Amino acid sequence: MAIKSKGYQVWDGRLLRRTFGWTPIFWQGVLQVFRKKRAKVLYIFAGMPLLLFAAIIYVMTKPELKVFSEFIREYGTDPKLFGAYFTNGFMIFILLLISVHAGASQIAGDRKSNAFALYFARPITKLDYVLGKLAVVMFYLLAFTLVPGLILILLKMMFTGSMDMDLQAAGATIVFPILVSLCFATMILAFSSLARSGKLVTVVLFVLYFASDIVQGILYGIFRSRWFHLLSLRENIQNFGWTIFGVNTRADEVLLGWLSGLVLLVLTAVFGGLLALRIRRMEA
Amino acid sequence: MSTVVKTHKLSKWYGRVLGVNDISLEITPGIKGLLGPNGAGKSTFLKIAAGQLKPNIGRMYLFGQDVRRRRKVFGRVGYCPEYDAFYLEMTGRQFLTAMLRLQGHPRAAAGEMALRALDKIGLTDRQDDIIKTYSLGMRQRLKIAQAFAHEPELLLLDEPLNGVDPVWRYRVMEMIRDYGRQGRTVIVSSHILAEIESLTDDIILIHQGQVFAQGDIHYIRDLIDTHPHQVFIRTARERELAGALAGEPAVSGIAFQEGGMMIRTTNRDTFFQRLMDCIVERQFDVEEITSPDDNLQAVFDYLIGR
Repeated sequence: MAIKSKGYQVWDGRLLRRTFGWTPIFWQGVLQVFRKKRAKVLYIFAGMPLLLFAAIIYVMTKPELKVFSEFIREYGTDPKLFGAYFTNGFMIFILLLISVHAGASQIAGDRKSNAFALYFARPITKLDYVLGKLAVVMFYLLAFTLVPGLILILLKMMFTGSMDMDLQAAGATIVFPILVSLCFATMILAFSSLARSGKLVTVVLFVLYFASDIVQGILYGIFRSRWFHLLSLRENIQNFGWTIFGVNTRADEVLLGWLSGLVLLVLTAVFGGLLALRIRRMEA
Repeated sequence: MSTVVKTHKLSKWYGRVLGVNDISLEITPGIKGLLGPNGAGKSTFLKIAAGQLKPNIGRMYLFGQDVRRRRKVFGRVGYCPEYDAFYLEMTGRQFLTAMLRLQGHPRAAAGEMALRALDKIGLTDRQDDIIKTYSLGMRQRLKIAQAFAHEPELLLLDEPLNGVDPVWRYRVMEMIRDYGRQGRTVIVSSHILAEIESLTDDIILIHQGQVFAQGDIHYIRDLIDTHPHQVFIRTARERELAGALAGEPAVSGIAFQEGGMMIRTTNRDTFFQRLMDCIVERQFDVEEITSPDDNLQAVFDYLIGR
């Protein structure tokens, strides 16, 4: 019987049930980012710290290679080793590059392509949309922070033949990359929601990142006060990292580290709020 | 027949510009033509129905559910926006599969449905080319395909035939008619009256954000009593026929033109009854009887005061 004849009140069709509405957006985004030009070059570049630190761990655990131990003395403990992996300037710059690569065009591209007309005519909510986009950026950020961190832990255990591991460093290896990635992801997506061009978003993020560093450097140079580190995104990540990994021990360093963590949390909340507001107000 | 789309005092402004104003209507299954000049509010109405825009005032219900509260209802809706909305770097197949995945279909099923839709819309041979290389007409067809690929019960088509070549225009119109015949609901907006007229007699006329008229085109025409109906008659004995009809109360004027005469009547039914009687009684050999203003264009012009 035609639907017209029987009427919609007795429609016997089946609505598709889906618990996680954001997953198609996530998978679609992951594939799209992976297919980007120069993606493989970036991934190789981003994988270099893992290789380097894997080599360091190997050298540290092999007495026959103690000839090299002079070069790696500063990584002697788990907190120092894993803290150095996550807080070195190269790694933070890699995070910036991956954020831009995976996130700059996520929402800006949808705006440019009028894709909201396609998303929001479907049974997905704006929350699904934000979660899907956030998951894409988090996926790539965590793939080059959390995952290598866990691999390094496994390698250390394999090379030493022991399960011994500093628990604070192990916990920080999980928590720190998640918090920092969340901060980068909300920041890039918030900027992406403000523009129609991914290139513009990239430029803005780079300018902000380096400007915050330069301003901090100038003020620190003049006043010689470490509190100005709170103005720099890179310094905040590093200070927070050294503290959460347990490398900072002096009271003022620990305090500064936790304040840096607070700054990162506030940035995450502000950019997250801005992102939510932009998407909620967005109309096709 | 059950109501599929229902609006209650629907209003939407863009800053100080009016989109739609105080629209309350009910739409039942079948093909509905949404008509109106540019800027009348057709696209705004469809965008609200498709969940793209939030109304400032009022409610939009699809299948009895408030679209602002129950987004799951969009699983039963297909929407073809007026403007291009594509990821140009994707292939046609990837695009359709992604849209079906967003609709909630599993990956394998989405892939199969995408292929079916591509076949139906004639893009099978170009399915693995990126959309950037598609012509305007092909992109339009792909946009239509993403709207019906999941076989929705309610299809919202905003100017769907823009840029489509004549062959595919015919085929797409046939697809729309087929959808209507299946008892589904199709709301098609267009400013090309001939397109709508060939699809349906059931129209919603929007002007300046408000619904001017809704229903069967001929019924609406009958209601417009400020404009007498015009009937064009071509016969070899036109002066004789004019003389026979001149005294009829239903006839308000007769004008002779090249090739025939135009009769104006205020009561179309009575006039046609009398005309038929006359033709039969006096054996007139009539070559043509047409009502030039009993069409969408005339109704449209009368209603918006052109």
